[in-house]
Order: sequence, then structure tokens, then C-alpha cells
Amino acid sequence: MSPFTEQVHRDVTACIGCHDCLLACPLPEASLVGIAELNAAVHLPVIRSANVLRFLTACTQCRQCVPACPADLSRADMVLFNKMKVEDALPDQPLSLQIKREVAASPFTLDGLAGELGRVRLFAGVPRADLRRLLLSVTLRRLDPGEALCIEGEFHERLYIVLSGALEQTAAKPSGKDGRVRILVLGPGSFFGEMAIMADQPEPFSVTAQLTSIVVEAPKAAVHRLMNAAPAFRDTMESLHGRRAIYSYLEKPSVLGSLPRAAREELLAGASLVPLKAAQALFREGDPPSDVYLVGSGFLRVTRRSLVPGAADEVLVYFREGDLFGALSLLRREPAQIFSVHAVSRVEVIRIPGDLFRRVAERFPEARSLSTTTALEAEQSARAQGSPRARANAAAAPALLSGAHALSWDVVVEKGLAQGRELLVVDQTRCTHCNGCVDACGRRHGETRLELRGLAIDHLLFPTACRHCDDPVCLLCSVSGIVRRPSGEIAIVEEQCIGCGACAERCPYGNIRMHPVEPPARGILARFLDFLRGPSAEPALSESDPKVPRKAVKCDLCEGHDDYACVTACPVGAAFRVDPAATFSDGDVFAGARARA
Amino acid sequence: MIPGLRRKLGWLERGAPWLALSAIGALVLGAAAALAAAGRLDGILAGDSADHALRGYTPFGLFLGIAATLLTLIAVAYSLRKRPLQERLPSGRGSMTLWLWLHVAAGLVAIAAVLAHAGYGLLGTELSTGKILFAIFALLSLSGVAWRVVYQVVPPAAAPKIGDYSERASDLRAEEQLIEIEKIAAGGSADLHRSKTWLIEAERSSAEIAAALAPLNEAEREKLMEIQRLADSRRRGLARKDRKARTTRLLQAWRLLHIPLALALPLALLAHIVGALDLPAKAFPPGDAPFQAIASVHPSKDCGSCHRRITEQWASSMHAHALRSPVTVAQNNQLVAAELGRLKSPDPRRLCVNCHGPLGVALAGQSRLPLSRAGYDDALLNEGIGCSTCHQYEGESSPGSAGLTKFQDGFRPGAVYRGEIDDPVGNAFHQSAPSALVKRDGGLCANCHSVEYDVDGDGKLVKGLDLVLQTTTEEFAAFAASGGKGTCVSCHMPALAGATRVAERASLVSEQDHEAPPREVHDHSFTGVDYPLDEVARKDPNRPAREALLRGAARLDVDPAAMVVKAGQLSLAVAITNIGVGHNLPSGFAFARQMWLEVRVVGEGNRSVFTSGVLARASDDLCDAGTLDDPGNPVKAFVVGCKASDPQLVSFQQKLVDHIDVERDAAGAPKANAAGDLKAIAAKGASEAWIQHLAAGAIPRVRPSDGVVLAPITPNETRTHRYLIDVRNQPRVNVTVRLLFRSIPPSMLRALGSGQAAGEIQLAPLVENLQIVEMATRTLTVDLR
Repeated sequence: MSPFTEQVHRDVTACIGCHDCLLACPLPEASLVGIAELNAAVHLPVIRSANVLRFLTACTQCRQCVPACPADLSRADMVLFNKMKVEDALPDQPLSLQIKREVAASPFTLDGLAGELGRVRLFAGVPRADLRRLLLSVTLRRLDPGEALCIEGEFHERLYIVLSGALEQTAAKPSGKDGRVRILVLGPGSFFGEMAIMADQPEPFSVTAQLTSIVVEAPKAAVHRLMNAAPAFRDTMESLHGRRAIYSYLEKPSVLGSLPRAAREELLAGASLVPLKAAQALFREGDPPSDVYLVGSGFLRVTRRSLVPGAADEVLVYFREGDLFGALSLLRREPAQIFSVHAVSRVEVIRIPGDLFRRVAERFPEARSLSTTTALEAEQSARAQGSPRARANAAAAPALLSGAHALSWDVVVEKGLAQGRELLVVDQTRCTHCNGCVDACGRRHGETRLELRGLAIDHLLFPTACRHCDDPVCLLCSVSGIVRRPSGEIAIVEEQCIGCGACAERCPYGNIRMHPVEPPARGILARFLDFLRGPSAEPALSESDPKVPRKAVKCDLCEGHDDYACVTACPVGAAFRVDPAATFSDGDVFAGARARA
Repeated sequence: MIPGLRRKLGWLERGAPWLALSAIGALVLGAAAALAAAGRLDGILAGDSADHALRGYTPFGLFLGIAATLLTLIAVAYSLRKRPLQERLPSGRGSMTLWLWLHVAAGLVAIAAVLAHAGYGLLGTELSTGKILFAIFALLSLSGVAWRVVYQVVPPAAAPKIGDYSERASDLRAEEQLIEIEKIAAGGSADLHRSKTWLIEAERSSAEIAAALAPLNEAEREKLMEIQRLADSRRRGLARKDRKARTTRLLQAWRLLHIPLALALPLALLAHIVGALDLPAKAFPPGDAPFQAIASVHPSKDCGSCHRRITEQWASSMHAHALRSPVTVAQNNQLVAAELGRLKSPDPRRLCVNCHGPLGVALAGQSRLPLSRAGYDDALLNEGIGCSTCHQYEGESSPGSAGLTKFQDGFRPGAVYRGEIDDPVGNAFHQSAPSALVKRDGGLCANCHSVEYDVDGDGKLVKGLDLVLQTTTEEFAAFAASGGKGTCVSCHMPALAGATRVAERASLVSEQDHEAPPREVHDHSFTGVDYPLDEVARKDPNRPAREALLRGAARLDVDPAAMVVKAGQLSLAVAITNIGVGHNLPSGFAFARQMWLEVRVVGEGNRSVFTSGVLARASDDLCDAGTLDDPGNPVKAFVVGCKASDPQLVSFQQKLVDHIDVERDAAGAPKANAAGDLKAIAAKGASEAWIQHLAAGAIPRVRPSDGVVLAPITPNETRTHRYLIDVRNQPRVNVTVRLLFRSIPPSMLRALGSGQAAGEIQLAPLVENLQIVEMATRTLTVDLR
């Protein structure tokens, strides 16, 4: 018995039958089944009850039921167990083929394609049943020669596997010249998109069909589900992603561009990808210098112990994407690290072992020029601030601000603002509290997606409007009710949202709101009849009642409009948008001029 | 630290350019208004010389008013752009920052335009639609400007204290912290719970907290410290919420003023436009308005607040009594009852009242006196010839037209009063304009001071065939044509000596814009021969002027050389000369005017030798043979003080006959004389009358003693009448000849009195108020030896 089956059987035994999970379920089908039916189905080899089948098919694994359980059981897993039985029962299901906007029959069946995928290196060791489950949520797409599959810089969050034909990966020439550089030709069995799935990054290359090709397009949620179900697949994905990440990070000209290709390849071969969780330490002050690090994504805080005993550590600087550090202490053969490095957000760091780095540096004299590379500026800045003289000066200078947050790079990083792409900022020294921005949002979108509350730093308010994070945690929607548009904006797909509220729960900034769905407007006759009938005996549901159907609403950066309603509506010029990545990059003035206002 | 993180505002999103633009706009408008008021823009505006007041009704003033309205509409566009147009404006959406400044700038320039438009109009004390509109607009602008300043000052000051400024968020956090506190305290001792409640209630000093910690064990102490931290944080959050609410209330307080005022503004503007453009007066010709408030008519007493002298003079004049005079009331009502009332059209049914009170009749639409109409003030309706009758008349002038409804077509009630002044000064009550008709001396008088009606409708007025009762205008025209000097005004409205201000009671600036140049002010007591019979016994301010006018009208001569004594008969020639009165003596309704010669001859022992025209009492009648010796004459019954007729009586009172005709030949066709004129005569069977029937007419009396026709004396004409006096046995006689005048015969009053309706002032007793004025006198002693 697999651990999963074991756990489900245990949960069924522990279930107290209170029905709360079904009450929490946003699906209308939940009212058709009873808790006893669902529990009984776990023990049945084949499920035949039509109600249960309908419910199992509809379940999106949104896991809204899980927190509702007073006994701390996972109804979602129990349903998944049953779902797997139902899905396994359909091995001969034919699959359809997407040709541009048309849908046609494909030559594949579910089981047949699962067999073919099993032969792809990526899915080595994955049980056929798991592959069948994956295939239930994929799209088979046929591309004509010359048809683009994805475009460089777009967010697609898909894993693509080429079944037949050939596709070409190209990239724009560096330094903005015309023409494109061919990277690879992808033949049958090739795959790409793992960076989108694993790191929520935009596609680094454009992919265009060379021949008539058929690709499998697996959405992020399905891939993650498969990673959970099949450890072999997870390992493959992680190592693959690691290799590719290392390759793409190190190939950036700003980092190791000054080294000859041979040196770079040598470093690459020995490098490894280190994922860090928020607050996890990379190394501490006093540790012996061992490796060189390159920040792939996320932010790291660089601190030094305070001279004052018992005081909190002093923040020297932040390392961000593209920063290289550790090299100077190695090259200078320092005995110990002079600062500590902790992850602020989820971080990926590439580690190059120190011995390898030293060896390469000795053989290639160009490595000496590394100390002038821009990638080392952050470390040099940290070192300068950490010098005894600098620290003495800093101690003598009065604190600039106490209490209120000064708007500086560290706050931007610590408060997660740097995650945003188009941050709404309200300048409270100008705001007259007229609510014009909120009303304008409501007029444009039907109901307002903006509330004037949120993080206040100094005189700036960062209201709870979507930040369109680089690393969006809201996107794990099982029904694609919330998606990242190719341009990078996070948007709710109204037709698909089932109102489970999972995205709203996940958003760390509380920027997704669950809004009651307006009941369809009744006609004049119906309203007249209502009037004749008098007040309904059934009291109207209050807005806060959990039984009221809801849908998620959030800022979509006024998609389809040429301005931001909130920014345009501000009569005193208090509201504006900034792109922190662009405006904070130098750590200097973060000018509204660069905002799309 | 990153300073200066602000939205970079575009050039047009900043206040300075807009404020500068508004200042320039305001200055330009103000300067242009000042220039226009000084008459410097006439070349550009083609302005009328009369339109120079710094007021809204001048051409430039109207332009400013329209400009202010358009600017206000631009300001309102902000609200529209913000709400309904947000998603509908296809282009030019801009940002609301730009729109707000556009709104502010438009509002500021509108204030300047409004101030320049209203000009002196703002200074008056009289409540007007303009002032109401201005008050609303001023408050509206003030609230906008005040809060624009508040917006500049309050947010920067409040920002550091507000923090995360959603009230709801603060509430939610407070709620969460309360739950957190409850979680910490759950399962704790009673002391912990008590201290928890106590900490939540209010901020406690560290000494108090230390005391509260004492009874607790170590674990609970830590819990209480944590609770204290949370409670403090919660309290701070709630305080922040209050601060935020207070700030929001302050920042948004303008809505309480600005929005209701903005809603009231269009209503006030509409009222102002309706009032200022005199739309009710234009929409409702006199009489069509259902009630007085919208008829744009004002009683003459209202004019007295500034024009007190003129109004008081008018009040004592017969113009002010034209409808209230008991004679008029009796005569009109009896005529209406007898004859006019049966006529269908207002013409000539209202022949009398149309002249006696054109405005009142137009408003009331009645023929009988006194006039009254629901919704209208009786005093206004019955005020006769009031200020408006002359000064709000824009029509043409034609003799006799006012007796017909034609006059009322030219009547223009409303804000404009017309007079002879070409360069009127603005005032708080009315607009002024020059009137060609008023400036043409007597132009207005002609309308009423001829009473004629084309009975046969042949387009010609022929006495005998048509109604011709009064011909003063024609008499004056003939006089002027023959080189006569003077006008109606020169005798009846002479310039007042020493008076230089027309509106002598108007206080400067608040009622009159500024000092006017010295004016010639004319007497408005319209001195003539009439006086209010019912009032004259109590007050008669015009008596000296009236008598002076009469005394200057005629000369009386008794030529001693022309005296002949033959067969005991003294032949006395008395000459009466009309010494330059611009019309006949008597004129007007000459059948009601008694001008006669009183002759007394006294012999030895002061014994009366001869008398003619001598009345024992002022209320006695002349013993006219034409009445007394006329068999069946209905007037005879009302004659008092006569035993027999006076055969040598020289009385120029014309005889009113109820039916007039012209002399006809044997075949019955009108018979013209050598000059082609027809001669009016009493129709066959006609009798003397005291009301003016449509077929009536006045014919001269004939002196029975010598058959001389006693027609009125035309200007500069001398009429000589001879008296034959028996002076036998008299050595010498004293002769006294007086030319006397009485405005109405007592018999006529008595006759009219006999037909009066109940409620009217009784005429018969009023004979006691009749005055006899001595126009001229001659005394001589004739020695007969």
C-alpha cells in the first residue's frame, strides 16, 4: 500500500462525518453528495454512483475543504484518491487536437499518449497512471511551419513537450541589434518551459515551428501535481531547472562576460543551484570563505553584527539578481567572512565552489579583472560600509528617522515592495481622501478593486492593489481562474473563477478580494411579482455571509485601457504607479517620471 | 532614504500656470469692464451711449454674464468628467489633476467675470435674483478656494499621523488584536483576566502595571506583558483611526457646502436670467400674467423711495386721480351701464378708462370702476396715469389713440424706464433708457388729450358725424403751426427751480451708481384746471399754481372809449383775449368747463343796476338760457339758484347734446360751407346731456340777447361782447367785470349724482367743494352825465 493510500484510508477512518468540508466546498455539485457516500467510495474498487462521479469530476482540488475540517483531515486527498480511480477508468479516452483556434480529433488516446510520454527522458520513471492524470489537463497543439508557440519575454507557465516535427528556439541579438540568434532546434522528445513552471519566469526564448509539429502543453498546476505524485519526475525537473538556471545566469555578459568561454564552461560545470527560503542563512559573519555566489533571483540581506552589544545587526546592503559575491574574500584570501547573508524572499543562488573558482582564476589572468565587474559592486559597497572607519562615521551620524520607515532600498526589499512590477503609490502629503481613485476603479470595473489601506512607508501608502509580483504565489489556481498574462500582469479570469478564495488567501499582501456575485437583474415583471408577493420570508444573505457566491477581484492594471483609472482619477496628483525594479535599481531617487502615470 | 518620491506632474497639472492664467483672465475682464463703462470700447462694441453703466444689462455686461455662465459650465465639466464621462470620453481625457486645475481656474475667472458683470449692482440694498445668484456663487467659490487652501495645508501636516489610513483596516486590526489578546489570556487565572480587561480599557502607567504583575506567576506575567503590548498597539491603531476620520471629515467638509450650492446654482441662474431679461414681462403682455408678482408692474409709490419729489407731486395731480375721481367713476359707470357696456369689443367700450388708467385697464381687463382683479393689488390697478404709463411706453404717439386699446400695445412693463435723459446713471432698481417720445415735448400727452372716435369708421374724424369730445392736441398743433411758442411741458410741467437731481432721495453707490450731471427736473403735478373734488377741501397743494395758470390765460378789457349811452342804455364792450395759451379757452372737455363773464353794475347808493353771470353761492348754477329756456331739457331739473334765464350771459361752456349731427341740405346730405367744412349741430330732437354718449357732441351756446355764438376762444383771439345796461336815472355807475372759471358745473354733478350706484362717492354734496377762480377783472366808473 502506497503512503498516499495509507493516509487516505486513515483519514476516512478518522472522519467524524460533520459535513463541514462539503459546506466549505465552492462547487455546486457538493450539494449532491453526502459525506458517507464519499467515504464509502474510498473503499470501492469502482465508483458507479452518478452523483459521486459528477462531484469527483468537478473537484478542482482547490483545497478549500481542508481548513474547514475540525479533525484536521484532508478531504481534498480523499477526493483525489477517488478522482484517480475515476480517471484511471478511462484509458481509451480519445484526445482532441488544438489547431490554432479550432479543435479537431487527434490520433492519440489517453493511454496511448501516456505510453509515448513515458518514453520521453523527462518522464523517465513516472508511472503511466500519473502521466494519464497529467494528460487529462493538457492541450495537444498542432503548429504549422512558421507558427510561433511562445515569444521571448512573455509569461506562459506551461511545460511544452514536442511530440513530432521540429521547433526552433531563437533569442534577440544582444545589444539590441536586428536579427535573431538561433539557440537550438527542438525535435521530437524535446521539452522546454521548465523555467516558467519552476521559477515563474518569463520565457527566455522565442519558439517557432520549423515543420508541422505537435506539442503537448501542460499547465503549471498539472505539472506541480505530477511533481508531487512522482518523485522521479520531481528530481528530473529540479536538476534540469538547476542546470538551465545556472547556464542562463552565468551566461549573462554582466557577470562572467570578461572570462574566456573555456573558463566559463569550467565554472559552469562545477556550479550548483541553491534554493533558499525566506530568512534562511547562506553564510554567517566569521565563517571561513568557501564559495563564490551569484544571485539568480530574489533578495538577500547583508548584515554585520552591531558594535553595540545586544543591538540588532546592522544591514549593510542587499544583494539582488545578478549580484556576485564571495569572490573578493576568496581572491584576497581573507580568513573569515566579514558579513552575514540571509535570504529575504525566496531566493535562488548559484554556488561556484571556492577551489574551482581559485583554480580557474589562477589559470586565467582575465579573472583578475573580475574585481571591476559591475556584478561585484554590491559586495564592494557592503565591504566599504563594513569597514571600521565607515562604521565609526555611521555611529557618529544621527539617525535619519526613527519610528517611521524611511523609504529606502532596504524597506522596499524588506516589505516585499520590490516584488511588484507596477506598484500603486499614494502620496499622503497630497491625498485629500476624496476616494476618487476608489470610485473610478469601481466605475471602470463594476466594483472597486482598490482599498486605500496597506503598507505606509514615510508619507507613502502602498494600497492593497495588486503588485503583479515577479514571484506570484497567487497563481496556484487549479481551474486557471487567475493567470499571468503574457505581458506579466496577473489577472482573474472571471468565467473560470469558482470563487474558492484560495488565491485571496495566498496573496501575502491581501490584494485579492472576494466580491459577492451580483444576482442577475430581474425583469420588470418579475420585480412586480416580487412586489406583489411582499417581503421574502427568506432573509437576504448579508454580504459577509460565507454562503453568498463570490468571485475574486483584483487589479489587472486596467487591462485594455490606455490609462490607470485610479491614477487618472486623482485630482491632486497623489496617486501614481512605479516599477520598483526600474526605479529602485540605483538605490537613488525613485522618480515618478518613470511611472506610467 | 529616498526623498522626493512624488508623482511628477505635467506642466498643466500644476497650480501655478493655471493660477497665473486665471489672474491674467481676471485682470483682462476687469479692465475691459472698466473701459466699457467709461465708454472707451464704444468703437468695438458699437455701444449705445446710454449703455455705459457698470452693470449687467449693458452689452458688455451681458457678455460678461454669458462668459461667467460658460466658465461655470467649464467648471461643472470637472464633475461630469469625474463621474458619467470617466469611461465615455472618447479622447482628451487627461488626468483629473489637470481637470481640477481647469475647474479652479475657470471658477476663479468666473468670479472675476461675475464681479465685473454685476458691477455696482452688488452694492445696492435691494434684494434681487442677481444678488441671490451672486451670494450662492460667492459661497460656492469661497468653499472651493478655501478647501483648495486646506488641501495644500492639511495633507502634509496629517500624513505622518495617519499611517495605514483605512478606517476599516484599523478596525479589523483592532479586532484581530483583541482576539489575539483573548487567545493569550485563555485558560489564565482570574487575576490575569481582570488585568487583561483593565489593560484594554485604558492606558496604564508602568507603576500600575507593575502592581498588576505582582500577584501573577512567571508564565502569566509574560502573558500579561504581551497583552499589554497588544492592547497598546490596539489603542494606537484606534487612535489612528480617529485621526484619520477627523482628517477625512475636515478635508471633505467642503462637500457639505460646495455640492448643495452647486446644485442650487443652476436654479438661481435660471431665476436670474428670467428676471434680468424681463422674460415674464416679455412672455406676458399686460393683463396676461395670472398674478401681479410675475406681471413686472410696479405701483408708482415704489418710485418714491428715490424720486420722492416727483412722486409726491404726481400723487397730488389729477393723473393720480384719473381713475379714482368720483366724477370719472360716476360718468364712466353710467355710460357703461347706459351704452358702452353693450358693445362687444373693448373698443370703444373702454373709451373712458383706457385713457384714465391704461395700465390698470390692461391688467384688469374691465370697463367698470373701480378696477379689481384677483391676484392684483387694487391700489395699483386704480392708480390712474402712474409712472409706468408714461415711462414704460415705447409705442407711437397719435392723438386720441389712448382711448383705444392701441396704446396698450406700446406699453412695455419690465425693468426699463424711459425718459428724456440721454446719459442715465445706473441704479439699483431699474434700467434707464432715453425715449424719443418723452423727449418730444407733449408727444406723450397727445395720446390722451384728444378724445375722438371714428364712429362711422370712415377713417376721418368729423365733428357731427364722429365722436369728437376733446381736441386739445389739435388746438395746440394749430397754435404751434401758426408760430405759437411753448409746449405742453412748458406750462403744465415747468422746470423746477433749484432742483438738479431727478432721483434726489437715491443714496449714492448703494442706490445710484455715482453722481449724475445736473439735470433739469420737471414738475410732475401736471397743473391744469382740475382738482380732486373729494379731497380738495382737506388739502389742495396745487391751488396757487392752478390759479396762477388760469390768471395767466386771458386778458380782459373794457374800453371806456367804446362805451355808448343811448336812450338810457349803456352799451358796454367787454373784450376777452386768449393771451397765448396753446389751446382754446376753455379746452379739454369744454362742455364741462365754465368760463364766463360776471358783470356787476352798481348805481347810486350802491344799488345794483345790472348783473349778469353773478352767482350767490359757488355751488349755484349759471342761468343759461340754452338750458333754462329749452323745453324738456333734462338738465333743468338739476339747476340751482336761478329764477329766470340770464339773457346777456356770456358763458363759454359748450353744450353737450346726446346726439349730434351736421347741418344738412333739404335732401338730408351734409352741407359744407365755402371752406368745405361741415358744421356740427344738435341733431333733431337731441337734448342736453351730462354723459358722453357715443353719438354725443358739444356745440357752442348762443347768447339769447344778441344771437352771438359763444364758441371757445382760440389762441391769441380776442372776443368782444357787448352788454346793454339800463342806466336811466343814474348819474354814474361802477362797473365790475370779472372773467370767472369753474372746472365743472354744479348741475352736472347733481345730474350725475342722481344716477350713481351705491358705494360710489356721492357727487351732489361735492358741489360745495367747487372753486370759482377769477381769471381777470376790470373795474371802472362810468360817469353818465
